[in-house]
Amino acid sequence: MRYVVNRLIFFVVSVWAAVTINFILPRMMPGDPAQAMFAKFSNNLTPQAMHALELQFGFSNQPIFMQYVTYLKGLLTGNWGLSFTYYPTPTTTVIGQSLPWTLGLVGITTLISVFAGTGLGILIAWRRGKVLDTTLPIASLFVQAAPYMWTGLILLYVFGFKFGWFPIAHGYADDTPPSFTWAFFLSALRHGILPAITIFLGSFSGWLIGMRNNMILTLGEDYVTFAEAKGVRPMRLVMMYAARNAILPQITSFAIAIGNVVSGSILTEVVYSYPGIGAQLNAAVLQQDYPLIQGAFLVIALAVLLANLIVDLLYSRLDPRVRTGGAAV
Amino acid sequence: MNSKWKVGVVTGAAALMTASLVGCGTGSTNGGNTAGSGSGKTTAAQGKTLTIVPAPYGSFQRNFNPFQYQTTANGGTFGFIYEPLFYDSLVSSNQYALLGKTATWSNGNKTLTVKLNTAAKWSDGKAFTSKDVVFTFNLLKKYPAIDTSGVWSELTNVAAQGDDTVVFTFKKADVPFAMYIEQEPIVPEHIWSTVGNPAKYTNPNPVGTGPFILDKFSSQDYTMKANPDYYGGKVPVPEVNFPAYNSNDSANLAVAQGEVDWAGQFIQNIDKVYASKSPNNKYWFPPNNVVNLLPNLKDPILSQKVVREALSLAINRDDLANKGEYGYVQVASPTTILPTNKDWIDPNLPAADKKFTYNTAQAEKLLEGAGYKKNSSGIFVSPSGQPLSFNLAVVSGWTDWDADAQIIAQNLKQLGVQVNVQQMQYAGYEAALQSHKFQLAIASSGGGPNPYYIDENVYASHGSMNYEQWDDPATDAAFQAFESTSDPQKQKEAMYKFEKIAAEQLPAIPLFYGGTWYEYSTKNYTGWPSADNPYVSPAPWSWPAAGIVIMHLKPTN
Repeated sequence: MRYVVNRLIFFVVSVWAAVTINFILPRMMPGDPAQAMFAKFSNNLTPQAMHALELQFGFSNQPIFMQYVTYLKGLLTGNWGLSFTYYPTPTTTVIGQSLPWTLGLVGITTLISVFAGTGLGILIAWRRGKVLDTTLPIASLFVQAAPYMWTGLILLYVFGFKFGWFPIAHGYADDTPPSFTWAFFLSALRHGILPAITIFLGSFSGWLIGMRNNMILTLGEDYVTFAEAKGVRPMRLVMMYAARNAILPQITSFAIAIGNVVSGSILTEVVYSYPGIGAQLNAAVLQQDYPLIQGAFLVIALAVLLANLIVDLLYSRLDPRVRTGGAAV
Repeated sequence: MNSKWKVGVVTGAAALMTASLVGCGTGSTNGGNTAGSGSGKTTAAQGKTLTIVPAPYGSFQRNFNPFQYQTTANGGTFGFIYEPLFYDSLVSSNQYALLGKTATWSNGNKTLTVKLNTAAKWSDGKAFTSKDVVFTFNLLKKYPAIDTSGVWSELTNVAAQGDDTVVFTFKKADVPFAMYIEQEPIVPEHIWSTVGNPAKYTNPNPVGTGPFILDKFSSQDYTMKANPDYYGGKVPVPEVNFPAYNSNDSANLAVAQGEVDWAGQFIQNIDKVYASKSPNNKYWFPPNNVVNLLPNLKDPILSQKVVREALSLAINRDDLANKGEYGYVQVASPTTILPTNKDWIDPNLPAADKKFTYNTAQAEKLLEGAGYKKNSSGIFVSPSGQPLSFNLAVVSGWTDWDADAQIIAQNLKQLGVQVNVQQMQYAGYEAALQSHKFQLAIASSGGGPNPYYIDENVYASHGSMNYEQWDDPATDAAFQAFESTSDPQKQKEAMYKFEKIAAEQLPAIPLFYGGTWYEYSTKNYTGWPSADNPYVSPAPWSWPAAGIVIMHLKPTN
């Protein structure tokens, strides 16, 4: 219980820190956000127009502490400010629109990648030295060594542009706007395949090799040899004795990966013009859309922290030593 | 984002703001006869969907607020859905009557009476009346945040006279300012009276008077359908489509492949990359504004006319146009008058005032004649012992201007003037210009339907873009004379006076005319504005002009 409380306190403190840094950072950027804002439209706007825009965008000259209080209040009440790029659309609306795409694409792909990598890792570790064990890790490492963006561009060029099997941009076809229909679902699926393969190829080998190496270490442990000598069935030995212990480091990586799901796979989304939060964040940075950047970072920070909290709590179930500070149970 | 595109959009937006009713520029407004409105040209054939890319937008949000058409509203909001009273072309002297029919000055050019086109209807079926116009202007008064042209700095009253007439009363005679009034988007009172603060309203389901009605919307594509009841006649384009593109590259690719009918992209090597791909791929880059080398006239050396003359003589403008600007623009003339406005050039101006020459030797002689001497490192030193060394401010990332700045620095080095190019972030650059903390800067003027709109801001002592601090009673008097008359001939004479000052005093050093990027395909439609038929501002981000272009198109099939 004490462990859980500790974790929760840690979580609250880190959220506060993240929120505060999120407040400070944009204000440390050189230049006035108003000027940066006008850079997009202006050059030649008349002073009247500038004045009108200043009024519209509501740049405030409040003291910094009052701004901070207003900001915290806004966060709690869901008032995260209005995006500059899409003024006067609230940033929450923009983020809310992009997030499902990213969760769908990166989330599902990450899950597939984790399960496939971990599963195959267990398998090839058990049957080490066989064909699969000698080829798969090297092949997957080779693919992963190529940057995401490059893999994405190659796939896009070959399967999208040359063969025309898949669309080269966007999350769905223009003639099937989002709705609960088969046509939209199939269109979204077709648009998601290439980006999904890109992300899968980029992350699969980490899970595979990580699990394989953990397994080999664990399989060498005395208790595994002992269990084998006692005649435990191979399947039970691998899954219940070896894999259960070997999987712990994977779970830590998984927590980090889950956090990253929310930030999206920025490069992949940009290459495929995918309507997710990664591409949106990239655009927001280019457009100096501070409220949107702040909002997106906040969502990412919260997701990472939350994922860590959950895994911390989960860990205490999987590995009792964490709960008890190392004392044997 | 390519700098050219930025400059284009930026100056285009400014042009729109700056541009519209000279009521007089053409002589057509005041008499009440306006040039052919975008109507009438009906055609029986049914065309294909027209795809427009005003600029690469990564994704869309549902914002169709016409008071934000220069900033965050989606393309088409103003021009396709909402309309102004009149629109003045930036590339010709045509004025288009939309919701207005005639505009007449009276009371010493302090009262503007606009007769409305009562055939117009809101797309929900309600009638358009003078009440909507009065309501719109009162809305601008109540919410200064949406009064982007500052119309209430010049107006005292807007009143309806019956259903079809609106009377605008001005504080003082300012004839060219009527353009801003005539070009405000007009919104329906029966809807906008209940939306609260219009600056914070996204207007997701727009109801306008224009040729199109919003149809489908998603964050990566939206379409508009022709308004079957449009008062301007049958709309020749049944549907317009606005797809999202994440980058200039992806948009350029789509444009080159013929997927886009109408674009406003800056494309390098356009002949090879785009025009050669199909005989239907056409482009036209009409001049839009003046790009100047601004000297800070409070600088003791740059305030000397002879120094400015020498600098101007030593700059190779052909290199700027052909190397820095890819050959897409024309070099400026000392009069500052755009080639599209050539009627405004004083016919009696001496030839030397109409064309710049490039002659470094003569520039050196000028300086030597004024007592400047070269020091041991080959740099001129003023009679008071100050070396001629200046910082030149440009925006970093606007690659064409950055290249221009390098060319200027090399040219002036040959003359014996040291120029240190300072690439600045836009915000810093803008702040430096506005606070006059610069020595030399490359800066562009605004645009507009006639030279007054382009030059007044830059050269009038109170001008909003008078960064160089030119303060000259004769210049102010010329603009004042222009503002107080609605007689086109008198306006021209006022501009003639200014042209002579600009050419002979060189308050700023004009370099070249900034271009408007505009590509169009004749595959599905013809009738586009072109160099041979420059009827209206052609860029697809030139709202509301794009609505007028649409009404001039003809399907090819």
